[in-house]
Amino acid sequence: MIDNIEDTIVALGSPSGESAIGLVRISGDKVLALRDAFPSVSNELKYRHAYYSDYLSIDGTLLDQVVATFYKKGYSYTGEYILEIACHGNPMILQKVIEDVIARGCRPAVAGEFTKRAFLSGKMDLTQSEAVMELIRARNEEELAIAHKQLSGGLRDKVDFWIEELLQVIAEIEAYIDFPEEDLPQNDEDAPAVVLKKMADQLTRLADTSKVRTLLQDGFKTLIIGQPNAGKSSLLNYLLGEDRALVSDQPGTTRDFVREKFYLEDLCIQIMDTAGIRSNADDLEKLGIDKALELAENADFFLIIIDPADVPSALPSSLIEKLNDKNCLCLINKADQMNDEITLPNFLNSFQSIKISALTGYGIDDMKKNWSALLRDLIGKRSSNELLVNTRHSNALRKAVNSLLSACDKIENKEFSELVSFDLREAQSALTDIVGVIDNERMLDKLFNSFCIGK
Amino acid sequence: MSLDFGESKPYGVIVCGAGHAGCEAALASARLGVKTLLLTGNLDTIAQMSCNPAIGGQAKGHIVREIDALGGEMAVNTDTTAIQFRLLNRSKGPAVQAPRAQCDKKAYQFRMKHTLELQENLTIFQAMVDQLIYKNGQVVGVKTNLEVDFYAKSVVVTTGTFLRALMHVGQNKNEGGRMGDFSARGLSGSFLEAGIELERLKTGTPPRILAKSINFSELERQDGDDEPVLFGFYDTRGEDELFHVEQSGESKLGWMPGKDQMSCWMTYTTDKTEQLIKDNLHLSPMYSGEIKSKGPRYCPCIEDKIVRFADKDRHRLFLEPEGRNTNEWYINGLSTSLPFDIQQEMLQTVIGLENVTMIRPAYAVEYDFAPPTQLYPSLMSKKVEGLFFAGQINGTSGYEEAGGQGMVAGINAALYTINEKPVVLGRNEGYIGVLIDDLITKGTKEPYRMFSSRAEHRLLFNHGSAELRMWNHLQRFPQLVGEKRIAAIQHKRQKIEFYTDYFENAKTKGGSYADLMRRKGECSYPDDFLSQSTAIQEEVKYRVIYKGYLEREEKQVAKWKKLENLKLPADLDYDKIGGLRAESRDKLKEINPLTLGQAQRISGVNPSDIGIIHVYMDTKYRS
Repeated sequence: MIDNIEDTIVALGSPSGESAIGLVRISGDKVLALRDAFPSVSNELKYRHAYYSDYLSIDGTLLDQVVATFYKKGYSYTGEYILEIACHGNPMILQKVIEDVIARGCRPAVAGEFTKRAFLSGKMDLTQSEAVMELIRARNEEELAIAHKQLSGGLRDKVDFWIEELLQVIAEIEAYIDFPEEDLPQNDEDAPAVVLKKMADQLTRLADTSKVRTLLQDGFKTLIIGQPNAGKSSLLNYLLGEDRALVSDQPGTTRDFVREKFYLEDLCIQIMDTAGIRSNADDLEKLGIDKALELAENADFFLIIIDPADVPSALPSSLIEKLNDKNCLCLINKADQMNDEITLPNFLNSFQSIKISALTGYGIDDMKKNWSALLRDLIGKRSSNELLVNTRHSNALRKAVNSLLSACDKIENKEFSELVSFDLREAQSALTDIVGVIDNERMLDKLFNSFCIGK
Repeated sequence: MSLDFGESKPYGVIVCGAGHAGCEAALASARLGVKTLLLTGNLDTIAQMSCNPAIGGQAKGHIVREIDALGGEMAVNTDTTAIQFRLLNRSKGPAVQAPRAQCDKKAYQFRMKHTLELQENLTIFQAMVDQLIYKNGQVVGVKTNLEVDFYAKSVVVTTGTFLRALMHVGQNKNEGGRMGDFSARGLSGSFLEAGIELERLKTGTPPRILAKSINFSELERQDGDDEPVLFGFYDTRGEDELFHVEQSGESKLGWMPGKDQMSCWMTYTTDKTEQLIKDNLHLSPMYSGEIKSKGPRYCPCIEDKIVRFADKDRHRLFLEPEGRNTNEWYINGLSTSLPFDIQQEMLQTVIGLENVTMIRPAYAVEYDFAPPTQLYPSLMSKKVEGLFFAGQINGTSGYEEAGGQGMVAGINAALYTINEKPVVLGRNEGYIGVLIDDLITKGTKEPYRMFSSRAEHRLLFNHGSAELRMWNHLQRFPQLVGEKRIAAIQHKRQKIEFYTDYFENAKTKGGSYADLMRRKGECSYPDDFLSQSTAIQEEVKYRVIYKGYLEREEKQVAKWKKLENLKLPADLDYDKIGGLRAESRDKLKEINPLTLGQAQRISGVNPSDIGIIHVYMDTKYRS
């Protein structure tokens, strides 16, 4: 069995590679026995306490000086006993510690296993099992936490309210289908359309917030574009403060894509550096350019870097189409080397432009100010407690909207009411994908409360 | 076949009770070739319609057609004894149109009794079952009031409203499951002894009156359809199997189905009715607190209607004949448990009933039922092997619901006897499947009646397709309908598939036939199609015109089946699954669902619980 839930599992909790601190995480009952590795851990184990201690391997060798923290069963991320060992970030030390933990009877975790355990122990409330499986596959624990928060909060209440309203409409239609011999009041078959359209509007509005949520959570996907050697990588390095992207004065060095996150004030930016865009590229670089154009499809924001000495005469038309004065900022780089004012070509004229120097930092503050202002315009004014839905919820809401509108069409075209009901039940089912299955009894309750049935 | 009794001469199946569930159960079991005994407290009340003299209606009519598709008797019995036929919901689409018929009560009973008498492998006998005989957690037979014991490998219990039955007319109380009949007092003890829990339900029936005392002059008449839609599938039966009791020469066909129909009449309550009820509400045991059991919401007593819907100034009532050879009529919509004298006075406030003669009072009846969550989908008890339940003992209401369960219980009791796997009808196959799944998964708090809105795949359940939907099961048990009819159904299936496909592809003026049909609802059909039976034509048209919907339904079914195919082991220990909420854990332990799909439908079990079980199963059993 690959992932027996009774095993105690171990995994590296920090990104692999060299770093200041490396985190080894262990979950399961055997955690308690692992205290033997830490001479400084007191006899009476204190949970959620950072023990500074040696780590002694099973044969008594000192492997590292570490900080060990134990979490109690039921009060940890996975719901099981957890031990977190913060080691020095040397991959070899980390490897040795993990090997030693395995020697003590634990086994390496498979992908997503910590999350799966968190879920299995009821530490996470998730909707449909399919979604569960999806999320288990997703290893991003933050995402899970957000889903959790969403469900316990306003979203559930909101969707519940719509479901109630929808059930009432369905009940009023069903009464005339299921009780054709009853002395029911004259059926106004057009009446539901108004309610349904209003609901569709509200649902659409909520569904649209997923875009904002993605921007805030995953960051504004920002594409840096410009002529080769215009200074894209230098700017990136300046922003990130590290030598992440390869910089050289050979045009077209950046062939791989660099994706980095950083914060512009409180806004998360997911920046994508691309190969320089130019017309006569060699084949390998051509691939890179194609990729850049593909990335542009999904980009939320564009930084165009211009070398005053080499102002582009054109950009691919598929890229130009994407740009507007709200999602684009022109940066005229190498301002420190610039003598004369430059004139931007027509296709860049309508965008804000800022003079900067990615090397000296000239104009960078100005750039940041203008940049963040543009981004804030993109997400619009929002109150801090406004509900923002995730993509899955948004998809479910849109599915419901489609069904609601389809029902409205049928009502207008005087189609059979059981077909209208069919659409409405699809809408209901889309909404219940967010909050869980609704017992048909809830609809029947409404039906019997609204109509005097019983001939 | 002589009557066998005692341990040395066991039956395959014993059916206790000869109501609508019991009759179907006994016939199905016998038709499967299993030696069957049907016991009833009174041979003269076989298949009695204790309440409304009508069969069918929305969703119920569909069930009757499904019963017929499985070789049951209710449909043919209705067709041959009905005095009025109406197709309901004609203004809506085919899926929600439903046949309904007023029956001649006595004719219905006599014909069913006659059918039972002539059925091969079946013995009927008049005796009341007092007690069940258990051996090693299994039921092995029954003890009767005649002190004669009968033995069998399995027993089907269909007690109707007779289990510890108590009738109320005002403050007057009498033991009995139906006015004039007995109460089964002892049997409840047998269930409790086996650990089967019992609860109480309540139902009621309106007064009966004489037609000659009705003033029809101000009433509105309701006639039957000129061209009646029948319940039985006659296009797949040979002429020699149309009405088999009659054609054996044993019995005479009273009248041709649909000929000489009788009318019903509509009338209304008045302000006086309302005032009278309000003034005497305290005398109704429903309102005085005397009756605590839950009655049906869809069939409330008149007291309830007046109180709960006070803004309604009058309530419509139907006056329905109970048969051709009686002057006794039924008042649909006026069930009550008010005292006799108030009933009499109330009747006189109804338009047209000013001088009416009441010949039976309305009454309420309370009875034991065994919450059906104690059953498997085969309708066998989880507590006692070989013990099957059907009808009102499972908390349902209605002849059709009883008949549908009777079919399934009878088939499965017979299969149990011959050690074969039970038949389970799915929620995607028809209303009987929905009915049983609802019962065993959710239980019921009121007498359960089928509504089309309970079926999530309603559009697949047009009444004309019942035989096609039952096909998989029929293939397994051709004895239920006979080899000849199986062949005819197979032929029908092929024709329907052929023409559905043909219309989709073949071109005619203005596009494919299918395009035209979907656009205009009709087109000029090829002659060979028009020479097919009406049943084939209707089904093909339905499938073509509603193709988009039917495909969407099938897609949902496929999604549903994914969870349905995830079997849960019978010994799954829910205490071992850490993250379940306490409420869910209790429910899951109580129902012990067979599939993850069933688990999902249990009320109180939420999706995250399902996710947890899913992942747990995945982890524990995958490799």
